[in-house]
Amino acid sequence: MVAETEPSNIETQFLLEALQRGQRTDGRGIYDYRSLKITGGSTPGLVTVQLGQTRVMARVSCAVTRPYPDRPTEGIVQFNAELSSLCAPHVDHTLRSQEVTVTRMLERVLRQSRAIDTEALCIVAGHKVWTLRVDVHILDHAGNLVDAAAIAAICALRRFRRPDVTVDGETAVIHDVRDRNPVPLSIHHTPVCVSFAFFGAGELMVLDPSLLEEQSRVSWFTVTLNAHKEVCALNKAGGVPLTHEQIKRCVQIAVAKVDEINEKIQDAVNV
Amino acid sequence: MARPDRRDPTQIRALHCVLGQLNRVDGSAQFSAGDTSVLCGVYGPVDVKLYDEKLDRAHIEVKFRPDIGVPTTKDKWVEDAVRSTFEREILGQLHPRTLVQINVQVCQGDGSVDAAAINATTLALIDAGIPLRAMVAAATCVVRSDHSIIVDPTQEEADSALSTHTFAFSNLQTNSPAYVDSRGEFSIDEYNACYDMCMAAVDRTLAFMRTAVEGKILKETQTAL
Repeated sequence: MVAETEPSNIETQFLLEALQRGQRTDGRGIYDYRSLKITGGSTPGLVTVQLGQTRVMARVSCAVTRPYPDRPTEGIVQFNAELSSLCAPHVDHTLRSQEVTVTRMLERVLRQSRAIDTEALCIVAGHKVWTLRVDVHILDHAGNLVDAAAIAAICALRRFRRPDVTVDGETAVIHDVRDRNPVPLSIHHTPVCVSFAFFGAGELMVLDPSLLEEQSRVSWFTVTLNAHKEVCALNKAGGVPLTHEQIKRCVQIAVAKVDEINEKIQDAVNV
Repeated sequence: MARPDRRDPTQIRALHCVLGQLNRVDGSAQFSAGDTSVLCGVYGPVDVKLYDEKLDRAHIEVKFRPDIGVPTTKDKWVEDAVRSTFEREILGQLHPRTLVQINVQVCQGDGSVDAAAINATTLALIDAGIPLRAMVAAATCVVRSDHSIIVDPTQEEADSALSTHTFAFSNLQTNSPAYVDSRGEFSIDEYNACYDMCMAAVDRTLAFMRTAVEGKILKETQTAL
């Protein structure tokens, strides 16, 4: 039974010693992102993101449904991150928990930060709304799934086009995509996640951890920002405690990094 | 009746493939026919669960994931189709008590997805270096409402068809298909016509696959020098 093998002691020791000298095992700088490549499919709403060797595919689709009874004027957005069995022959519980982490992060980053205008998804209040479904498939896991998945999801949402609707009182006509050009979604801002990993007693830090760094980390922290340098979310779940100076430093580094990521997102989205 | 994309009845869509994109799997292939794009990753031979262990050959497992939503029974059907096709083609006796896991992920579906899955699987198995008896390629034909037959339908063409037929053939030149799936109402003449059309389409697909694999080997040997 092939389980997800933990890194050997030699590997983690080497990693720590290199970090103590300010070097990373893959030759990057401490604050360097791996190469980021965003490609869109021929259908709008399909985006594949490659961050180093991590490869994530996001697919957005829509359907007309009834709204939630307590939110009759809002559309619904559903997120589903799946660690495809392409990542490991037998996906065990540690990998499954990563799936849940990615899904929760996407919900916080995209739904709770009010990035998507759900009121614009309403067709007939109380009866018909659009339900958006964002399926994120993780094709290759080489560390830092959260950042890659967030970029893939927001790019796919911005590239997605839903069918045009004309509402006349209580009746709505949904136009076929061949009769009327499909329209883009209403997205308020573009949140981007920047993840850090900590080692040793929490004093050593890296940006955009690789798989080995992720497996050897003692703490991790994600800053979510948008292009206006506003902090949308801070996520620290478990691990060794961090000082507030470390948190501030992480946020400052993230502010500096978000520009280059945003540039790539703009290129991919304004096609 | 003209086709929406102005193709001839016997014309398949433009084929495209990329081999070896993924790093964790042993072999991978992304196969596209027009707007239908399928990614296949293969692990093998790897450790097998005791329950599935076979003493004299490899256990073949297929996982098929759609692009939108969670897997349903339709996807299980494709899993079964791919597994039964490749159980005969993979030389499992060379790797007893191991597992060959075929993972198919649909990136974009625009008709003929099961045929694309079989094609992607062949290429991924070759990329992984898993011994095969032959290369297998598949094609889909549909009989339209005016009883004309077209090959490699898009989703729109398949939805309005009277019957759909998917055939897979190996490159061993025998006159027996490796996989057959026919649905709908059709006559035996229509079935035979679809059979012939698919065989021609499969020949072209196999030639394309061969070129793709040759290109990959050439690139590898050149960079090694």
